[in-house]
Amino acid sequence: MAFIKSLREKLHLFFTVPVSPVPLGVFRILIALFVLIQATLWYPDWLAFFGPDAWMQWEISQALVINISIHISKVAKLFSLFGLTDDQSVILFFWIYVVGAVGLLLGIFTRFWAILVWFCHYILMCSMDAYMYGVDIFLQIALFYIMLMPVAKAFSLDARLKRVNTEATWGVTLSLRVLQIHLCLAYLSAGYEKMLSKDWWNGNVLWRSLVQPDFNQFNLTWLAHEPWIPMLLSWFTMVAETGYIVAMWIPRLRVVWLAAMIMLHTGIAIFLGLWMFGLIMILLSLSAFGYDAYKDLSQSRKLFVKKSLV
Amino acid sequence: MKRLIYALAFFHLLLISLTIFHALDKVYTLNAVVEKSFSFVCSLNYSVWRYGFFSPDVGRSNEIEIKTYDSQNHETKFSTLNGFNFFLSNADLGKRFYGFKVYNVADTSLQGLSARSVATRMMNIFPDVNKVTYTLRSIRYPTMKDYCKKKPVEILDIYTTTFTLPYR
Repeated sequence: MAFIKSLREKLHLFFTVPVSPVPLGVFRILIALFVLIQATLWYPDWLAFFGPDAWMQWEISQALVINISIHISKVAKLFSLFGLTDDQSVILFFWIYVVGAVGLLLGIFTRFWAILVWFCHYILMCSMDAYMYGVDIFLQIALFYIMLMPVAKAFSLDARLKRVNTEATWGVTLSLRVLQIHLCLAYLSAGYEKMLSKDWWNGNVLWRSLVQPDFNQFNLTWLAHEPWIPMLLSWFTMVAETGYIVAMWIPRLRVVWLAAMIMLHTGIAIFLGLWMFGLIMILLSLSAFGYDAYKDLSQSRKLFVKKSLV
Repeated sequence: MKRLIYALAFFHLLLISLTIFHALDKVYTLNAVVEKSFSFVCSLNYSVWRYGFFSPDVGRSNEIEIKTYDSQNHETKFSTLNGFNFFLSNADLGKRFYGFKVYNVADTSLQGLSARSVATRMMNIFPDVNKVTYTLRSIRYPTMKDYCKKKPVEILDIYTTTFTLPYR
């Protein structure tokens, strides 16, 4: 009974003790910058993916999503009331998305821009079902949280102009905890699903990923003659992902684990060419646990200086 | 209000947990209304999603090969094995065709529609083209052990079709 009471108290403190809004401000800035980088990459081929005569035409991409979803063709229909062609509407939509991201980055009327950017990205997701992958899913999750969380409390013009209360509140704590727990669960799932596959244990999945033409960046077929390398890398991946849910709550281990996750995603970016995916995963981990890791490091440094002086 | 927000946050995290541990698998396919509701929630925030990066089907790659022919029957070959670089401005967008190909292999009803869509786009890009051949292939890579024993990569044609514009 005492154990349950103590657990309840700890949980209560975990979700309610006010924490700094700095991580949420950093989260907003990093994700807004990510949206802008991704939009820059999209721009030259925007119509090839979202236009009426895209690689997957509207009639087909519409059929792939549920009826209540908002496909980009519906936006074009709305803009056509103002005399815009389909192509012009799709281009205008791109600029609305970009302006929204800039507003979010600056943090002026933050909530409005956050809702707009999330909604635009939702429409994009509904319009390119066959082309989306992890990067889009995690961006949608991040934008959903940014829309609801008090992300303007730090590093924003809203805070500077005193349009929002900058104090640490229960809302900040809850938001940060939800983001942290969601990431922990996502990594746990990723690690656990991998552990169920025999080919992850013997390194074959990693080797195949590195050599198949969709992802290969360098000729790494020679790794087949050194199977222990892909095997160890696979184990590292599984341990890093599955252990994330525990390690991120242990102060000293957190810094090491965060560095390991950054290494893992940098490796994915370099060796599989998934730069944007690697980047968003690093940004999410930094947003959720970066501030705590930074505090751990500062504390360790202070302790080290103190010991040196003694 | 505070209690309601905490309850919603708890429900959201519970939904994520139940999904990743497959507790909702049967509920998801219970009936169309439930399935659509989950799909709708998923499209908003991906709380009903499993995050198994690279767990399924890695090693089973696919290729889409497109051959175009002009009025002199001159053949030009494009292949996703070359990263689709012939029309994309950057490599990051090329990665998106991985999902497209997986989708096409998994959903046979989509293959014809995708082929038609791609053929139309090729004919729009190259006005002198009057015939497009579209082939979807499965490529299975051997294990490291088999690769060392010189086992070849298995290549299998899954779907092929030809579109012709007789009056161009």
